[in-house]
Amino acid sequence: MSTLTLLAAATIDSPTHNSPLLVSHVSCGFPSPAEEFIEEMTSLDALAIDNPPATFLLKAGGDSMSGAGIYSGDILVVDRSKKPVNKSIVVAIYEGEFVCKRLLFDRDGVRLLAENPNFQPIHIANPEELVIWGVCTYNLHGLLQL
Amino acid sequence: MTHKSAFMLCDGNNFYVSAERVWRPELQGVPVVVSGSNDGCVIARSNEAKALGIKMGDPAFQVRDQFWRSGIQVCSANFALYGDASSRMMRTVASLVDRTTPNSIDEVFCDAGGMTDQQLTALAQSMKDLVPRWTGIPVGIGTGKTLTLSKLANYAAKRITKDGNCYLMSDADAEEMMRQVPIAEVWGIGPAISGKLRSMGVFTAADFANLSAEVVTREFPVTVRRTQLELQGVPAISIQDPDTPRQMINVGRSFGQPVTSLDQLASALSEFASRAAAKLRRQKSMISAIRLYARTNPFKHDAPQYSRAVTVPFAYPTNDTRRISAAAFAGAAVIFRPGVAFAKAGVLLIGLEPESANRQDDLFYSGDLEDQERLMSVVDAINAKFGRKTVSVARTIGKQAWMPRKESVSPNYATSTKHFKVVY
Repeated sequence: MSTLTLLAAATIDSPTHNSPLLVSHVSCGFPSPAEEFIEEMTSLDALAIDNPPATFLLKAGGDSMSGAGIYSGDILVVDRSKKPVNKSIVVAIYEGEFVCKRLLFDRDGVRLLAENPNFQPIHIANPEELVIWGVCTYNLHGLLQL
Repeated sequence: MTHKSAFMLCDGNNFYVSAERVWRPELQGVPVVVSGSNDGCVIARSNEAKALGIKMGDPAFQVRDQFWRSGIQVCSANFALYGDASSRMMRTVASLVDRTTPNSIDEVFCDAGGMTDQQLTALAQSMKDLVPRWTGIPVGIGTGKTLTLSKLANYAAKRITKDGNCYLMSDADAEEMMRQVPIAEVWGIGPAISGKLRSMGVFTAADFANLSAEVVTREFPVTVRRTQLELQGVPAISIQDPDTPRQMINVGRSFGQPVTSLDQLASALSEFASRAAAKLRRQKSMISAIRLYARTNPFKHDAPQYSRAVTVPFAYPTNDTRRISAAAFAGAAVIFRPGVAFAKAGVLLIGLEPESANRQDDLFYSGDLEDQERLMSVVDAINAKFGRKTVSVARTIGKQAWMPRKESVSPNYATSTKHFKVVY
C-alpha cells in the first residue's frame, strides 16, 4: 500500500531545485501499480520554469494577443535570462507601460506586433531605446473561466 | 597563476530604488527615494536624488515638499518586494560561483580562491552583466585578496572608478586605491576608531595599512589588527565569524532530526527570532522586516526538495522579542508544508536602523505598542499554559500589527498572486 502526499509546487522564490508535485511514500506491502505513472509526474514549476531567479509571473490584460492564444487574465511566465529573437513574444516597456507583443525585426526595422487585427503594429523609431523586459516562455490559461 | 585567496563583493546599486524600478518604468531617470517604516525617513536614494543633495535619514515629507518641482517620487518601503529582489540577486550570483555568503539584503560575498586573474575578471564581468539582465538590479563588483579588500574595491567601484567594477588583486593596485579611500570607509572601522586613528595622523586606508603592527596591537582591540592584516592582503576575517561586522542579523541552523510538524518548525523559527532580537537589542538597533526561511536537505537527492522563504514587514521598527517571534510563528505557517522534512531553517532581520532614529512622533505609536505588548504577554502566558497550538490567537493579533501604514507602496508584483503586473 502506498500513500500519496500532495505538495504545493515549489515557489519561484525557492533557492533549490524544483520539487516533484506528487511524492510517493511506500509504507509497506505490495507496490502500487500506479507507482510508475506517479514517478513521471512533475511539477508545473519544473515544466515551465527554466531559470527560477530570472523568472517572473505577469498577468495578461486585454485581448491584443488573442491570436497567439493569450487572453485577458492569463498568467504569463516571463524569463529575463532568455535572449529575445525575431518573433519572440516579449514583455517590453513601451511609453512607460508594460506591453506583451510579438517582437519582429526585418529590413523595415523593429516592430511590436499585436496578434489581433484590431490593433496596429507599433513601429519602434529608435530600437536602441526599446527595453525588452523579458521573453514570454509559457502562458497559463485557465479553462474554468467563462 | 592562481590566487589562493580571492574574494568578490557584489552589491545592488541603490538597492531598494532599483527593486522598485524593475516594476515601475516611470521611475527610470527621475529622482526617487524610498521612505522607511511608517513613511518616516529616507532609507534609499536614486543617483538623481543624491544629486539633489537629499541625505539618508531626511524626513520624507520634507523631501517631498522641497523637491516636488524636480518630479521626485517617494515610495513607501515594500520589504516583500525587496526581499524577492534580494533572493533573486543572491541566487543569480550563486549560479556563477560556488561559495557565496549574503552579507546584507543587497550584498553578497563570493569566495573565489583558486582562480587565475583571467578567470576572476571574467567572473566579475559576467556577474556585472548577468545580475541586471536576470533580475533587473544593476550591481557593483569589488575584487580583492581579502574580504576587507573586496569591500574596499566595491566602495571604489562606486565612488572612485565609478564604472561599477574594481579589481584589486595586485598589491600595487590595492595600495594605490587605498590612498584614495578615507579611513572611515574601511569595513569594520567604526566612528570611534576612525576618530582615534585620525588623531594619530591616519587619514586613508593606506595610512592605516602602513601603521606599525605594534601600535595597532597596543592601542586597539584585536579586530582592528585583523582589519589591518586584511588591508595588507592577509586573510584574517572569516565570513562566518560572529565578530565580522554586518548589517544583517542571521540566525539559523541545521536540525539534528528532520522537522516535519508545524509545531516544531514554528517553535524553532520563533526561538531563532528571539535570539536574533536579543542580538538586535545588544547593538541598539531596530528592524523593519524579518525574513524566514526553511528548506529540506539538498544533499538527499532521492528525497523531494522544498524550500521557501517569506518576508514579514512590521508596521513600525521594532526590537521587541514578542513581536519578532510572533512574526516568526506566522511565517512558519506560510512556509510549512505537510510531508516535508525540513533540514534547516533560520531568520534574517532586515532593514536595520539605529534605535534612536526611530522614535518618531506618531499618534498611534505608544498606545498601540503598549497594548500590543500587554496583549502579547497574555498570549504568551496562554501559550505557555495550553501549549503552542494556541498560536492562532497570536497570529491574528500579529497580523494587525504587520499592516504597515504606507502612503505610496508598490504592489507586491513578485510575491503575491493578487498583484501580478498586468501587461497589455
